[in-house]
Amino acid sequence: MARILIIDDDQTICKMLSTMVSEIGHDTTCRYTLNEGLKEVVSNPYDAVLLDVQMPDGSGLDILPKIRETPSSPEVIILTGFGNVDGAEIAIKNGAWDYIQKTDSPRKIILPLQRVIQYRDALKKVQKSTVALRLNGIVGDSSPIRACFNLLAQAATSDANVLLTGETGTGKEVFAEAIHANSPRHSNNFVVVDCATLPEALVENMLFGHERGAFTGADKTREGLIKQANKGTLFLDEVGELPLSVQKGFLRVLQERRFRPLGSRREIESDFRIIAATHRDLDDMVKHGLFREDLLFRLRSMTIALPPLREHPEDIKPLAIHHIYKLCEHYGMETKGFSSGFFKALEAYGWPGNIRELFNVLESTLAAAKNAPTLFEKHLPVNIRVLFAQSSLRKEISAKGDLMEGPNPAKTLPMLQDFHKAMEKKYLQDLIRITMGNIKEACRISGMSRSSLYDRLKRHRLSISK
Amino acid sequence: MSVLLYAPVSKPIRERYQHEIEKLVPREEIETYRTKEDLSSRLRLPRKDIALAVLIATNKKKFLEIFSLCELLGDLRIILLLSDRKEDTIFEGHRLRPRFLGYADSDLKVVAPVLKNMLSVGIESGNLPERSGDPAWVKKESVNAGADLVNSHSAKVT
Ligand SMILES: Nc1ncnc2c1ncn2[C@@H]1O[C@H](COP(=O)(O)OP(=O)(O)OP(=O)(O)O)[C@@H](O)[C@H]1O
Ligand SMILES: [Mg+2]
Repeated sequence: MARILIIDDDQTICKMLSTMVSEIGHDTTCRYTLNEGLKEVVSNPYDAVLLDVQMPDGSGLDILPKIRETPSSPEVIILTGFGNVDGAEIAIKNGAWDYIQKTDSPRKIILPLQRVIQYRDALKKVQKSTVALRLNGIVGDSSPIRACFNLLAQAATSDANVLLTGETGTGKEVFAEAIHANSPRHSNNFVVVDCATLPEALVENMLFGHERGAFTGADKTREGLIKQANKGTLFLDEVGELPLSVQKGFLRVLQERRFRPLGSRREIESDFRIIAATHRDLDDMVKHGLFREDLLFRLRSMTIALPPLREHPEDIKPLAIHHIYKLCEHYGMETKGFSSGFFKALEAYGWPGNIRELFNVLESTLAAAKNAPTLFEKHLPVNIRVLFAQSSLRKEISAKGDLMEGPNPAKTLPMLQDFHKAMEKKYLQDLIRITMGNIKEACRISGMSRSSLYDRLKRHRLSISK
Repeated sequence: MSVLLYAPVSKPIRERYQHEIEKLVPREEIETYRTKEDLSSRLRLPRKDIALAVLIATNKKKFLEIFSLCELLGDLRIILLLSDRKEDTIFEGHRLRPRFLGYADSDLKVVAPVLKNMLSVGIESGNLPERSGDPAWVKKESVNAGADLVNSHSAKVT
């Protein structure tokens, strides 16, 4: 059950909202002035505040930042009079979650509230699981990621070899580190062996080390990475790239935990734990003779398959918030607010480069937003915005399509011309919204010339309000 | 894309490393920093354009300065060259999660081949965006240092 505070001087509205919120199972409290409202939210924790703008003792927008700074840092949804689009924009720019018009239908009012509550629940769960596992900034509460956390916890308590698989940027390395950090080996070395970038000619030298004078140029003894991982963890990253020539020798080391440095007469021991990672299909490599089956068998006593981001889009929002906060801290910037459309646009994209790509995009977005206090869709790279516009359009079309598949399609099917017109209007509305009325951007995204865009807007009686 | 070189060391040593990196990356793409303050300020700016960082310490104090920037280095891909082979230095070195950990006094010639692989693997896997309009960014000339080292070793170790 979430706790919602309603601040509005209109007692009838307070009562109506309060009934609606109680009906979906949450607690509400009403306050009728800004002053009382602020006092209430300072002394009691809330998940969300429904805040009216025009109040007898001032503008709700003025106390919005103060509400966000209270200990429970509730999300704020602004209540506006009909058609006050400017007020809404200011609200979002000042860190409000969303805005609703008092004249909207009850469903429309409840929807953003339900989203806030879902989001707060997710945050609470992440915070809880962090207590049990040291997650070092790993974020996620979707069921695919929670399944991975469970495996992480198992891996951390055992000493079994672990194979992490997943597309690029899905978090294989951060999970490997977290397994080590939560294991009894955490106070010893976590040694990264980057099998993809160690020059083939150097791999054995780096892994096993060498004695002084082992070869020309070896004027100092070198301790191998395997030895450095003694009592700790050896992380074989991109293990699929380990040269076949080295795989055999390495398998022996894995079985015996002893090896001979190059040029040495004596074998030495190392008690290391193996975590390996790859974005390749190792079974397929085995089939093609590119990877040793016996080594693969050893490496994957346990497997954790990290899901691509497109399979857990519900984590995009917490990941984005987490990363933007981190970047703002690094850059010494004020933290940013987010418009709800911003997350919708992120969720509409497929993220082939997964979390790494998301983080790179957020860095560019922050640069594009400069000093703006809130991140909007318009700050995102063009390719992501275009996909968002297209997917909104597709949803609209399929919603219409559903209608057409109703009981009597002949009755509901519009004239093609009308359908086309309606779609065009919807496209233009989305275009204006996404570009925040920036004509240059709108032309770029739509591929229309300025005059043709103005012409169409006029035809649909649409205007550009920034 | 650029390569960040942190070399708080004497000019001749710095130039030797610069020279190695220049075998692969045009001079204007190498961002060189000599003080911790400059490096720290750079790391507080957007770093999407940094392909990777080569960090060199020739004494323990310089190494600890690098180590103090651990948080800011975040998940930059790092080639780290340590000042000594002591256990605690190596332990702290690994905590920076370098993709390659070597030693300033012996691994000069290893930097180029490792760097070369890191640059090409990064671009292939999408870890590093390819530089627009300049597909030949990673210089094509051969870098043989690593091969030399080991050709001679395989000749000796049997
Ligand atoms: N669950 C997560 N929470 C927060 N950050 C994450 C998470 N997963 C990955 N990241 C971040 O995403 C980026 C990529 O993660 P990582 O390097 O672990 O991926 P990877 O699977 O090893 O990728 P590659 O195959 O390309 O090496 C890093 O910046 C990492 O910090
Ligand atoms: Mg990785």
